[in-house]
Amino acid sequence: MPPGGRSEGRQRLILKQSTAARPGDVGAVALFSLLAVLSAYVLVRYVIVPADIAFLNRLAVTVLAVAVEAVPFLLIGSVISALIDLYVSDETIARIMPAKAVTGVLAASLLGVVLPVCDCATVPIVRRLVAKGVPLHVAITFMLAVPMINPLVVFSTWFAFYQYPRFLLYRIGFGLASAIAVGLLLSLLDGTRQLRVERALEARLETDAHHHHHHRDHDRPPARGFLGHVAAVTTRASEDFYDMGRYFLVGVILSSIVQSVVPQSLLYTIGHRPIASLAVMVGAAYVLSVCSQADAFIARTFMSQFSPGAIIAFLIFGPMIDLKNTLMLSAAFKKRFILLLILVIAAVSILSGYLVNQVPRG
Amino acid sequence: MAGGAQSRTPGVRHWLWFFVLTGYAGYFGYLLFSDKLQDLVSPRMTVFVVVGFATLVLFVVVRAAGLARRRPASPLKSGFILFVAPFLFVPFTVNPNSALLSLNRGVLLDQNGPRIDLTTKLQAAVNPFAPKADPKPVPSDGPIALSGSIVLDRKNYYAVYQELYSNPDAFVGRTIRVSGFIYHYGTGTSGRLIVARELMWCCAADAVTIGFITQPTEAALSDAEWVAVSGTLATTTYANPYTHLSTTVPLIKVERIDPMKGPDFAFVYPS
Repeated sequence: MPPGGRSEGRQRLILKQSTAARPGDVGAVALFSLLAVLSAYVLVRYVIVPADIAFLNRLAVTVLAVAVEAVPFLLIGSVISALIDLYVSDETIARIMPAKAVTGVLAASLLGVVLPVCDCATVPIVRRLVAKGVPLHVAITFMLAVPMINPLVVFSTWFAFYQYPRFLLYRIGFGLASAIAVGLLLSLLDGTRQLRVERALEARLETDAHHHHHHRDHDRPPARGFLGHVAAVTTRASEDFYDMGRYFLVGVILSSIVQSVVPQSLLYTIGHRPIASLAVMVGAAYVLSVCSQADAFIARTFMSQFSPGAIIAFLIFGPMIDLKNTLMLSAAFKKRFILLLILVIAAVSILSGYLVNQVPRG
Repeated sequence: MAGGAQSRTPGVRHWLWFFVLTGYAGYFGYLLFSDKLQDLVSPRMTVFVVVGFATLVLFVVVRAAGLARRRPASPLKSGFILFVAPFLFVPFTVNPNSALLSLNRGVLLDQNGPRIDLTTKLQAAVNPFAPKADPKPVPSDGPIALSGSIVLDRKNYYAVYQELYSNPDAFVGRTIRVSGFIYHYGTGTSGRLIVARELMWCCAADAVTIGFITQPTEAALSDAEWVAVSGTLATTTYANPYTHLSTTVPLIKVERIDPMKGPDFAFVYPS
């Protein structure tokens, strides 16, 4: 290979990426179109024709309540992501994160103990970690475990199920095990360095860095002093907030519409079926999951209709992946990988629920 | 050189993002400094809203300072429209009625037990997950005084509700006063109404409808109408239409119903 061969190939990859339509922009337009169609249907079906202002009131409260509750966590995640990007070098990441699959996954799964953030905050952090060279399966494990075992979620689960302490143990134990299992499966199924999504992400981020480098020369002065550093972190966090927030907001509106239109009584008709109830609760978690803290209380209301395993499946699946997170992940990862991730998480969650149901009660 | 031509003024994109951030900071500030925040999120989430507000203000200040810098021209992105979308819902939350949130969810009448689907009839039910302990003596340091009328207000509603449902037999004969919104189910002599409340754990989206079954009354009341009810406590049984199991829950024998113009308080919160 000639001396410049490898760099020329990488440059072609970069150039190809930079001239192609960015997945994020195309995705945003597609999602906006879907949202526009859905909104038009809801408007005609529930507002214009029956003049159901009550429905619109209910929908509006749901959308704004979720947005006001979750946006602070999204902002916190964006700030943490910016700090990692600007002040944590690739070498430091490599020193902290074990390189081997098993130890890396185990280390990532335990970081949630010290990070009081919900799932909305982890997606921008994960994106930055992958860009810094953390293996994809390690970063994904971190994303799945943090919403399960961070102190706030542990407390809310204990509060919601204080009469049934085993549910707290089930959620933490099976949740952690599920996150580790998904991480290990991803490392086995997909040799993370060969993931095309990872290369595209690197190329895109390198392209962004290429643009940012030029922008910095003429637009963003190098950080000087405390205020300069604050400005640099804030600017980068603001960009992350835009990238993640647009998908998050679409997810909030879509899940709010589904919650407002579909009566929850539909869930109860098959709640008593042992296997179907597990799948139903996983599907419900995908749509109904608001945040990992609130999930405990939502699951509590299903207790008399569903088995303990189905409740645990709900408590595990929702924080790991839901409609909002899927849309946020689509800003950084390809659809095929996201679909694989959803299927693997669903399988692990249903298996966890099945195992819980085998535990003798009493 | 990357990007388009250099310009001495910030592009539309930068101004738009500045206005979006300002809008979000302004809305968060409005919620924090008015009494509207708790119509959307639980009081325990206030600290996070404060953090979010402070962060947004910081974003706005830095963005404002950056507007003076030269920036290359950049295309307008469709994502900005998505950030504007939530503001379209704000006018519909000016006078929110928390009773409307329950229309799609049904009512949870026993934290340990079955949930009534408002579209189905009452049947006997037993909750397999309920604690199997016998009715226990009322603790002297509980949320309910050992004597006198039981009055539920915004601060003690959930604590008293839990105590009444945990040990319904211990409070038979006590007088009670509670307010909430109305739900009817059943017809004729078997028809009953529930005086309900929305219990908010984290935000309005996860609110659960709870309340008390009342003895039939001939008052002409509509669903979602707000009332204050006074009466005497008794017990009754009700059934889960899906599991066909029964449980014992508190019942209010109504002596007086006072219609209210609107909610005295929209939500109750876990203590």
